[in-house]
Amino acid sequence: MNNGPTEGLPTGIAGLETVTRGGIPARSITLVHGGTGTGKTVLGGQFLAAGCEDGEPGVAVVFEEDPEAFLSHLSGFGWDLPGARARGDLCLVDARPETISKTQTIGDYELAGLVSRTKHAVEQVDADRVFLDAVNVLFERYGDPQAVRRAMASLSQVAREENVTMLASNASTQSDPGSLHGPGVEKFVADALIVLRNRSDGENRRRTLEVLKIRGSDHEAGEVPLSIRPGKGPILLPLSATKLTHAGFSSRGSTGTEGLDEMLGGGPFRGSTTLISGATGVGMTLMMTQFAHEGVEENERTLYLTFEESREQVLENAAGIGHDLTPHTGELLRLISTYPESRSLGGHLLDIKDEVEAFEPERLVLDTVSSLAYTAGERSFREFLIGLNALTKDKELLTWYGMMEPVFEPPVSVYKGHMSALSDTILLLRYLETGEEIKRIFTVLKMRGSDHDPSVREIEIGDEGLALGSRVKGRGILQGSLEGGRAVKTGTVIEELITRYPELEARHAWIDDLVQRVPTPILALDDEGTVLAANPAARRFFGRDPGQLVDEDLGLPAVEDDAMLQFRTPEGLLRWGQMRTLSAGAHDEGVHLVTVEDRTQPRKVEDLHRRLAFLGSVLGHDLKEPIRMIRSFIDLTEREAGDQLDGDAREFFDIVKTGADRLTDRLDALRNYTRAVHADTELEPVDLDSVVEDGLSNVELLLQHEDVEVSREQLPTVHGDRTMLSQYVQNLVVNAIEHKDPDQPVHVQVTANRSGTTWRFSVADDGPGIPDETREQISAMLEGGTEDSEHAGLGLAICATVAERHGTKIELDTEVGEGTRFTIELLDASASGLETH
Amino acid sequence: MIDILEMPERAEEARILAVPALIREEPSPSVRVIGDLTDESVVRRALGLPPLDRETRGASS
Repeated sequence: MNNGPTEGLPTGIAGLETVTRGGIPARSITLVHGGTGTGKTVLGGQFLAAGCEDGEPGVAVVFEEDPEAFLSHLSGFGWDLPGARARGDLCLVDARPETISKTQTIGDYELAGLVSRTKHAVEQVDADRVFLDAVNVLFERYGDPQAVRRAMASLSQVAREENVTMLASNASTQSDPGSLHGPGVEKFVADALIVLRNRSDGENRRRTLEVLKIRGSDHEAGEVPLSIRPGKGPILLPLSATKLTHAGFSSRGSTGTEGLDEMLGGGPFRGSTTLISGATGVGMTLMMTQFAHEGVEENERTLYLTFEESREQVLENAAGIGHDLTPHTGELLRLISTYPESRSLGGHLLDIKDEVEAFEPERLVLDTVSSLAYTAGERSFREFLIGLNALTKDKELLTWYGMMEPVFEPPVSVYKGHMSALSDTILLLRYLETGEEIKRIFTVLKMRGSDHDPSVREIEIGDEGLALGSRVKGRGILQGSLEGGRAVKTGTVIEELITRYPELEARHAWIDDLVQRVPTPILALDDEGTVLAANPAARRFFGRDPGQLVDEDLGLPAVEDDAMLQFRTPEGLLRWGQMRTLSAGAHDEGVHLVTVEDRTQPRKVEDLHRRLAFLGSVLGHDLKEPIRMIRSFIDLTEREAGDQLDGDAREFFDIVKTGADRLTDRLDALRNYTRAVHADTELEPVDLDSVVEDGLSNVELLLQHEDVEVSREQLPTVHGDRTMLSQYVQNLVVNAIEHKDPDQPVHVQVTANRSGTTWRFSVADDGPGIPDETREQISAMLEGGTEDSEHAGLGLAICATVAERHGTKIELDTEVGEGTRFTIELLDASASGLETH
Repeated sequence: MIDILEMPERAEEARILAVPALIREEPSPSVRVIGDLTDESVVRRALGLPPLDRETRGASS
């Protein structure tokens, strides 16, 4: 539709009217710009040939080729241009420039010869169309681009005055002709600009046409697939010409598979496309054969296109289940076998269109589209499907596409080229491993415009063909386990969602891509926090394949926003994740979609920092005392020695004192710093279970190599500092290991007993106990009464500091030969007025 | 001298695109000169003719 002032001229190039909204501008010059092999000349040939057929004579102005060669080049497309020339409908102008060797340029010139000759030719045949082939030659040959531009402007004037429409081709040497940095072309006075491209795409070349501008008129934006067919010339496949929305389905056909029509609410709709997805041997081809046979039985013309097998093989398959299709071939059944690689996808689509136009089928079977998909890029495939869909909807065909899946890998095709969005009905055939046997199972994943039975059925294959049998119980065909078995292949979150919310899929086809590609782990959970499905990114957090996560109980208290999730990977790494719930509407159905944000790393860094600061404060405290001692004994010695010290000794004493003082200053600075770090870390509710877990994970190697066993009961949530408390537990466990009898195992037990609003938190071992000689000193140190930590070691000194920070003291309870128990009292989290998370 | 606007068929025969153009047909091989022909000495040089005296220079184009 032309909505501007410019009148469009239909070119006769299939599809170009749609893209240009009515044709190229009449009485103007349209420039066709493109690299070698993009089809510029063919486009011009079609333009001229279509004109000649419609009583619109034409002129070809040929700049590069011998005009005779130009004609013979184009005759390959079946156009009778020599005939048109003989009838006086076509005039050729040999506009090859004077050869440089015989020509000298000595001053300013105009290309008036070109203009005059073109005008003369137009008048000779009373032409309506002019094709100027390879105007770039002018720019290359004549050094004065202004002269060439003036010539083009004159030609443009000829177009207006003589009422002719001109198409000029311009060869580009640029890799992307769209950039238009060709010689002088950017200032070219063309009224419309078309760019042709030819790029590699998969194993094929992909030709496209793009209308860059049409002066004073609207046009379609973007590249449109272009196909050049032997004997037919260029054909455009504009997607906009295809209707994606359909008026709605009414009449249904039958499938020929026992039990399937019922599952589809009475059968598939005419004008709808059905995708059958299955691995080899699962029964997909049988189903399609039965569908074709049913068509013949119902007296419906059926077009069966196979890209997988020979005609004979298809007929044999049918015969194998008692269906003799041979007598129907040609009459009701047209069976065509083609190699997928025999042409481009655009070529296949045009072939299919031709077949549909000629045979006028009511059913169409493509066995399989996946074999076509392999030969081309994703974009080409998508365009192919869109074009095919438009055709099948336009002709109200009952269409089945087969999609072959890999047996041992997760199925992917439902997403490929947006297959899912482009299919009205999806049928899935899958293998199911039950331990004893491999079963074949079937389900209807979705059906547009109709209720369907979403149950999972067993596939029964016998001499009579394929039938759908009894229901298979369990969670489902897609995401993993069924009762007594596991699906060989696992599905994805989106398949799960599509099953439950078909309308979601219809609206947001891109969601599948999103869920598959986002780096954020996404889980579908049931009310109990059991994993129903997981996306590929979940592997990063959980360290397991998404499929292995299915049925995993994450041990969540509740599925809610911001809940923290703790998970130990198969490598034994402890991970923390923060959950965020998505899709509030899903709660009713018992499905929660959550994202998991990995909080392990940031927590680790913060933790490390605090641990270092804490050790710093302990060291500062422990070192200050010995230094104070050094300082005071130096003072004392100096005073005692009095005048006996000579000048040198006095100087040495001063150096020692200065050093000690400086060290004291440094330690004060360290303590001030570490205090500042801790100042903003308030005590908060901490889960002692995870505290112990943390502390033990820090000494995991030690625990593996020493004969030690750590047990604990269910521990409460208390008011405390996570870093310090885990350090506390860690140090006591290490202490138990260090002091154990090398020949005896040691057992460490962690307990918490309630006592009013506090918990008595104990770490006890059954080691040799603390001997009397050191017991007093240690308990004095633990209670904070002495500076002497020589016998207690740094580990216990740290423990004492931890206790102090929590407003408690360590109670030491030890018996030689029996073991040692360290107990502190911690405030219950609820008692501190804080709520647990 | 041919005016291509008057006789485009002659321009077609000689396959003329740029004007002004001067064609020396004899002696063969033919030689073409295109561009402003007002400077006769330049034209003569381009056509391989000997230079003329200033007095005998004729009008051109």
